[in-house]
Amino acid sequence: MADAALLHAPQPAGATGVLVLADGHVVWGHGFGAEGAHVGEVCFNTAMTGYQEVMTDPSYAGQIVTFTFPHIGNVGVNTEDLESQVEGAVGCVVRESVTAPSNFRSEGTFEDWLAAKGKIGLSGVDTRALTRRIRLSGAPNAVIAHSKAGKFDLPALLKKAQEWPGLEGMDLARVVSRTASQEWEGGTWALGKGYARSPHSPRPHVVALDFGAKDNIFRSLDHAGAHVTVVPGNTALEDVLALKPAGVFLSNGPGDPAATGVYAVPVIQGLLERDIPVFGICLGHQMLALAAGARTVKMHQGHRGANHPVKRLEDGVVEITSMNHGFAVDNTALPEGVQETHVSLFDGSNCGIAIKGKKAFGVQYHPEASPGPQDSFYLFQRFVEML
Amino acid sequence: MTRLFLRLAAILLPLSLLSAAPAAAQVLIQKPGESTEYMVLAVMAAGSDADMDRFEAAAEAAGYQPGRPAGPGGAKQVMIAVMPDADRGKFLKFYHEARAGKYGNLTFRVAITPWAAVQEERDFIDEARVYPADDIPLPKK
Repeated sequence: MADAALLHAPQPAGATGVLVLADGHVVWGHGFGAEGAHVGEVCFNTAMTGYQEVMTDPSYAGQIVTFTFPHIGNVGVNTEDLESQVEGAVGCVVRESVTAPSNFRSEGTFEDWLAAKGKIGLSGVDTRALTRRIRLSGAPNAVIAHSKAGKFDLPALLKKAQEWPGLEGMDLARVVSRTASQEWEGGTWALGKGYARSPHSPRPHVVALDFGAKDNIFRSLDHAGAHVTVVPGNTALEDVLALKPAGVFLSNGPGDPAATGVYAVPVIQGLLERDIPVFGICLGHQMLALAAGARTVKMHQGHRGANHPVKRLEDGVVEITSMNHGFAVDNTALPEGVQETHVSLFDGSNCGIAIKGKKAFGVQYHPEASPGPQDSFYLFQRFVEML
Repeated sequence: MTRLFLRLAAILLPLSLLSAAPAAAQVLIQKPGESTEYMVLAVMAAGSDADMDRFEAAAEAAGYQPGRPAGPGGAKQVMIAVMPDADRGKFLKFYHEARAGKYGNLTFRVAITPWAAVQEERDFIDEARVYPADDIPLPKK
């Protein structure tokens, strides 16, 4: 069936890139960035800015990002707008060919930067049609491939897409987490000033478990007044406690929270038992929920963008948020000790919880933005005030 | 202005007619190296006033409804919306003759939109893009 579909997708003359979905659907275009082939889950992101931050967000590990905004790459890249040094998305699909960068902060082209990072880009694609396909059928597994010579082995690419197991049950956090502890230095960025230097005054100590964190989370904690020590996501409870944290932060990250939770949930439960304040974002939020007895579910298409409205239930305020998740806390079956604090105004899915009787809360979205609005920065301040 | 002109032209044509019209009647193209199909929405011609006047008069005589929306930077141009119910062959003949210099020394640009945007009833005018005619080769027939 899928092979038959492949036969009906003749390669247009001049095509140097291709996206082969596991169901046999083939999209041809112009490849850019690294040559080769990468397998991943195709998702879509609706943000109009911040493609460099998106492509360096570890939460996108194992994914191919379809940007619905048509002009991607046109402001180039720089060395400041990085969210991590580890592997994030394996590739991206864009509508228009990448043009020469036009931005005073640009230090290079998007194509060269992708190539240096080993990531593959595909342009000339009707990305909204691809997005519609994802919305109707769910996020598919696929292979993105680039060959300057236009040589592609479609049956082999299809086989690779079909044999990839997918993200469900995959502990990708272990792949992108730091492998050594790090004393975090640096606050948030300002035009003309760059990243702020951390103050030397005594500050409450936050130990941050890194499951594939975006650096702007640590900058935001620093800016809110915390001293941050980042440790690998699989750090044992005893080792976390040995750092004498005033609070523990649980970072975002890629993959299935149930898989990462196998080793992280017992640590979080130990923290809750000791009444240590806990704040989780995205994957960290999901694992906090798991630790409190809730469950998580794989979403049909996920939420990825920088314009997602979230309702704060305590006062009805709506926050416009940055999101990137394919799993969510199941708010139809929250246990007694978990209070829902935020919900998505797009689909009613859970976007925040608090653990009753504890100084512990989490949000599904990204208050650190980068890219996105900064409506929710108050959450970092709220956490630091708890310490 | 170009997009406004296209939107006005689209208002004259019920979307139901657009999406129901057989694809063979429309000018569908693929950009080199891509599998995405695009529908030609309009062509724009720019040149001297005399050449643009000649082109505009010929377009009117051929049954099109040319307009003069401002081009990039307010530049003068003549624009012809390609109605999906128009005679495809007649339009392509007119276009290629014009490009070959029949009405003077004109520079052409082509507005295209993804065909899927039309079929899926997306805002295909919003998704329209304009390219130099050399980048968007149109079929001969």
